[in-house]
Amino acid sequence: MATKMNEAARRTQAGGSAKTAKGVVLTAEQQSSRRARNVAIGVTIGLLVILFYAVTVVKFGGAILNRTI
Amino acid sequence: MSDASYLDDDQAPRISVAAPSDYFALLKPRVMSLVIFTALAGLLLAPAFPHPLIAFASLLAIAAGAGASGALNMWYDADLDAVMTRTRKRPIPAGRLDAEAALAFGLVLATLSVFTLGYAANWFAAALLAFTIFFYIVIYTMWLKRSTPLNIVIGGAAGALPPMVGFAAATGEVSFASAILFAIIFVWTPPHFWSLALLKSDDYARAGVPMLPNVAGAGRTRLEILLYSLVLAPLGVAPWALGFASAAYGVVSIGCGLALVALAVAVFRKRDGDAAQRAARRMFFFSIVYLFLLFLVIVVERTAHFFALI
Repeated sequence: MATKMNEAARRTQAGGSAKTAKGVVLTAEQQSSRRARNVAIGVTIGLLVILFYAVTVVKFGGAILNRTI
Repeated sequence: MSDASYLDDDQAPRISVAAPSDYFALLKPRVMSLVIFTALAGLLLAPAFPHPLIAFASLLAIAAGAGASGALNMWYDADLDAVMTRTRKRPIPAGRLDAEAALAFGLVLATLSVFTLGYAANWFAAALLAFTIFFYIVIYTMWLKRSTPLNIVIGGAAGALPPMVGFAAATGEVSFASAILFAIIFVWTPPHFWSLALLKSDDYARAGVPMLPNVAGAGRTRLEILLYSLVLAPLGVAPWALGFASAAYGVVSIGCGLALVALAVAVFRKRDGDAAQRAARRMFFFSIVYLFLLFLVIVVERTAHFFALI
C-alpha cells in the first residue's frame, strides 16, 4: 500500500496526474489547460445561443410580433 | 470501490493538456480562410443578397464545416503527418492532442455546421455542405489519398464546392455561374498541389503517399502542370466571357492567366537544380495569388453591386 502511495506521489512530482487516496490530482498545467478549454467551450456555446436567437428573430421577421395574448 | 482497489489501477489517468489553440489548429485556419472567401464569392453571385445576419451565419457554418473536415483529416492522417516535415508539428503528431479527441471534435463540429446552415439558410445548402465534408473525408482522405496519384484531381472537388454551397445558401439552388467557380477551383487544384509535390516529393515518398512525382516522375508532373494551366487560364476568364463578371475581372483574369502559364512553362523547362526548385516554388505561391485575385475581384465588384442597390 505504502509503495503504491509513493508511486502516485512520484508521478505527481514528475508532472503527470496521479490517483491517490484523495482521488485524481491534476498538475498545474492540466488544471490551467482544462480551465482554458472550459472557458472556450462556454464562450462558444454562449455565442451560438445568441446567433441562433438572432437568426430566429430574422427568419420570423415582422411576424414575430403576431401572437395571441 | 475502496481506496485500495482504486489505487490498484497501475495506470495514471490520462488528463489532456491540450489548449484551445490546439483545437483551433485542427481546423486548418489557412484553408478555412480560403473556403470562407470562395464561399463568399458564391454567395455574392446570387441575384439578391440575403439578410446580412443570415449571410454571416451561413458563412460561419460553411467555415465550421471546412474546419470539421480539417479536424477529421488530421485524425485520420495522423500517421502520415507524423513522418512529413510539413505536418509533423500538427497537434496530434506533436502529442498535444489525442486522435480520439480530434475525431470527437470533428464529428461534433461537422454535425453542428450542417444543422446550423440548414436552419439559418436552407436544407439544400446544408445537404451540399454535408456532401462536401463526406467527399473530403471519405472519398479523398480515406480512399483516394493513399491509393492513387489522381488523389488531388478527384479530391479537389471537395475544395471546389464552397462557392456552390455559398450560392445555394443564398438561393436554395445552384447555378451555371456558381458551377463555373467550382470548375475554376477544380482545375486549379492539381497544378497547385503538384507544384508543392515537386518541392516535397521526398516527404510524400517517406509517408507513402502516391503523389504524381513519386509515381509517374517529375517530368510527367511538369507536363501535367503545364496542361492543367493551359486549361485553367481560359477557364479563369469565363466569368467575364459569360457575362457575370465585369471587364475589370476580364483584365485581371487574362493577366493572371498569362502569368500562370508563363510560370508553368518555366516549371516544364527548368528540370534540374536550384532553378527547377525555384520555378516550382514560384508556381506554387503564384497559384495561391492567382485564385485569390480572381475571387477578390468578384467579391469586390459584387459587393459594390449590392451596395449600389441599397
